[in-house]
Amino acid sequence: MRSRRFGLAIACALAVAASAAPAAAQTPAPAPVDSLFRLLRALSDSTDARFGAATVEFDTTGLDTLVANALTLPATPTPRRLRVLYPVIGYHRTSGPVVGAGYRVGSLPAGFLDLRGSYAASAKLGRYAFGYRKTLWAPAGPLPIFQAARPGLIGRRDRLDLELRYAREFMPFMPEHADADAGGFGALLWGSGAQSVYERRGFSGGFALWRGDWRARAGVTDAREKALPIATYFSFFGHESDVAPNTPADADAFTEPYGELAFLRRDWELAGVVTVEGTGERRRLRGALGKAVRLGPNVKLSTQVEAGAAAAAAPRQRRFELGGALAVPSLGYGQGGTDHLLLTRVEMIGSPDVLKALHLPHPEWFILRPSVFLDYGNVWDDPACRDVVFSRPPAEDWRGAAGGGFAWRIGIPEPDVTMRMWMAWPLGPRAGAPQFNFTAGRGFELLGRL
Amino acid sequence: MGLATRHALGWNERVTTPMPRRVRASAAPTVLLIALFALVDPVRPASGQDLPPQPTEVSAGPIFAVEDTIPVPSALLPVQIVTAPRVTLDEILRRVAEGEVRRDSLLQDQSFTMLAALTYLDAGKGGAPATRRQWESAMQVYRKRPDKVRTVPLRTRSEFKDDDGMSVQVGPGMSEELVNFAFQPRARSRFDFRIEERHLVGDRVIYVIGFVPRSKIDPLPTGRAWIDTKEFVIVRQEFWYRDRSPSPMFFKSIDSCVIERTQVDGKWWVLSRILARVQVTSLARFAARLGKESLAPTVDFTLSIRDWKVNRGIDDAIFAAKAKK
Repeated sequence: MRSRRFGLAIACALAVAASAAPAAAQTPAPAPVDSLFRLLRALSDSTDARFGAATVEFDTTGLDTLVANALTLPATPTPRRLRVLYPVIGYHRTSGPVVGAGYRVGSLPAGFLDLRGSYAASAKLGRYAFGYRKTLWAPAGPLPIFQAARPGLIGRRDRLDLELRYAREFMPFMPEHADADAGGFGALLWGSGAQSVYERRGFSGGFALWRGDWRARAGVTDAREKALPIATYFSFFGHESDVAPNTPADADAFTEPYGELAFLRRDWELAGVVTVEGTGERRRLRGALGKAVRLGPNVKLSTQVEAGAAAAAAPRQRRFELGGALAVPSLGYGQGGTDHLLLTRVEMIGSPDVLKALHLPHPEWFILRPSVFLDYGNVWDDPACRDVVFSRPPAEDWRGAAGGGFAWRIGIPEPDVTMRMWMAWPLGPRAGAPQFNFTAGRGFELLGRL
Repeated sequence: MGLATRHALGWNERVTTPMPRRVRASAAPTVLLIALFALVDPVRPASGQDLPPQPTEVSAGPIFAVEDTIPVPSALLPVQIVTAPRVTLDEILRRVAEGEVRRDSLLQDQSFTMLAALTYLDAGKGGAPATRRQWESAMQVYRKRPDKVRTVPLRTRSEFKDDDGMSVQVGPGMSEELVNFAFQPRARSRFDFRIEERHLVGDRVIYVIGFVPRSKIDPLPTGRAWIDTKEFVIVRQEFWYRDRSPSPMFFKSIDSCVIERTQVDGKWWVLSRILARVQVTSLARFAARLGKESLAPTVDFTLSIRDWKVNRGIDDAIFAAKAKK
C-alpha cells in the first residue's frame, strides 16, 4: 500500500513535469550564435583529457614579447646547398668487386652535380659518371632542395629539368628488366648472377618535364658501346662452372635522339610509358601499361603488359629479352635477343600479415604479405626481317611462369618500395627451371620509377 | 521544431519519434528524462560507432525519413513535414571539396605563431606512465602567395644531443591538405564514407562524416571529419592508423591524430591544433640508439597555432629579410 502511494506520487510529479515540458519545447529558446564554438570547445576538452596535460600544454612565458619583436629577429635559413657523400659498391663477373664513392653537391640557383667514381678490381677498370640537373621551371615556387637534386615524380610538383650526363659505365642488357644490383649479390655468393652487361661511354643531354599526370623526356645521346669479357669466376659458395658467360654486345658508336612519354593516375592506379630511342638500325620502341584493381578489401590485382619492337638489324644490346625477376622468372637472364617482345604479368597481393596469422613471433616492422603471380611472354624476330612495329608472335614461343611468395613494404627510399621473396615454377617444357629470388621494386615494376 | 530549424535542416523528412504509441506511453518517464537531458544539452559528443549506415542516394520525389541522429526532444514536438530535398552524402562530399578549394583560393597571406612539441611517453617505475618533453619550439611564420614564406625561430628547448634532432618545416602552401586529404576528389574513390552523426548547433548543421579505406592494402588512415554545412568546410578531423602503418619500418601505429580548426575574423577557417600519438617500432628505437639518441615507445607530437592574422596585406619586404647563417 505504501509503495503504491509512493508510485502514485512519482506519477503525479512526472505528470506535472510532462505537462510543463511541452510548453517549453514548443517555443525553444534560440541557440546562441557561438554554439558551434561551444561544440568544438567541448571536443577540444575531451582531446585534452585524452592526450594529457604533459602533451597539450606549452610554456608561453615571455612568448608575447618574442612575437612582438619577431621581425627584428633573423629568419630560419632555408637550406641552400646540398652536399651528400655516398659509397659506390658492387660486384659482377665482368668487373669483380667495384668500390668507389659518389658526391652530390649543388644549390637551387646553380643546379646539382652528381660525381661518381669507382674502380673495378678484377677488370682493372676505372668507372666514372658526371651528372648535372637543374630545374629550369617550377610554377609553384622553388622546390625543396632534396627534391630538386633528384628527378621528379608524376603527380607531385610541376617542373622542367635540364639533365646532362657524361659517363663510362656498365649497362645491363634489357635494362627495363634488370635487377638494381645487376645480379651482383647472387654472383658474389653463389656465382649465379646471370645478368649480362656491356660498356657504354658517352654523353646524354635533354629535358624532362613533369606536368600534372604526365612526364615527357626528350634529348640526345652520343656514345660508344662495346662488349665486356668475364674478369673473374670467384664466388663464395659457388663453383667456377656456375658462372654464366656474359653476352657479348655489338661494338657501336652513335648519336641519336630519345624520347619518352609517361602517364600515371594514382587514384585510378593506371600508368603507362612509351619510349622511343634511336633511328634507322638502332631504332627501338617500347611501351608498358599497368592497371591495378581491388578484389574486395583484402586483395589487390595488378596487371602489366609490355610490348616492344626494334629494328631488325639492331645491335644485340638494343634487342629484347625475357628472363630475370620481372619477366618469366623461371627463365634465366638473356633469353631472346630478338626484335619483338610481348609480356604480360599478373600479380595478386593480399593484405594479411602472414607471420601474425601463423602466430609466429616476429618484429612488428617485418610485415610479410602473401602474393602470387603469373607471367606469360614471347620474344621473337619478325620472320621477314622487316623493320615493323607490329609482327605476329609465333604461337610455339610463348613461355610462362607462375609463383608465389611474400611482399614486404619497406618504404625506403620512397613509400611504395617493396621487397619481394618469391619462388617461381615454369609453365610448360621450355620455360626454364624453378627459381627462388629476392627483388626490390615498386608497384608497377615494368614501368619503372614514375 | 520551429520554422527556422526546419529551414536550417533542409531535409525531406518527417521529424517524429520512432517508438509506437503503446510503447511510448509505458516508457513515458524515460522519454521525459531523455527529453529534459536533450533540452539542457542538445549537443551530444561524437561517438557514432554503432549507428546504422546512412543512405547515400535518394529518389527524386518526396520521401519519408525518420530523424534518429539528432537528440532533439522529438516526443514533445509537433510533427512537421519538410519538403526540401535532403542533401545526399555525395552532395556533401562534393561541396566539401569545393568549399576547401574556395577557402584556399581566398587566402592571400597569413601570419601566425606556431608552437610545436615532442613528448615522450614511457612506462615509468611501477608501471606508471612517465612523460618527458623532449623538444619544444616556438616560431613566428609569415607567408604570402604565391610562394613566399618566412619563419622566425623564437625559442627552442631540446633534449636531443644533436641540434638537428627535430625541426618543423613550414611551406608556402595554405591549402592544409592534412585536413582535407580524404575529401579531395582524387582520393574519394579510395575511401568509403558514411554519415555518422549530425549536430544541430545554433543556425548550423554539423555533419560527422566517417571515412574508411576501401582496401586494407592501401596505407591510408581511418577517421572522421566534422563538417559545417553552412560553409561546407571541415572544422575538425580525427584519423588513425591502428590496424596498419603508413611507414611500417618506423611507425607501429598512429593511435590518434586530431586536427582542430578555428575561425579567424569570422571568415577564415584555419588550423589551430594538431595532436598525434605515435607508437614507434623497435627498429626505429634501435636506429635512434645507434645515433646516440633516445626514443620512447610512444611519442606525442603537438602543434598549436595561434595569433592568426589572415589577409592583412603582408609587405613583401618581410620575405626579403636576410636569413641567419
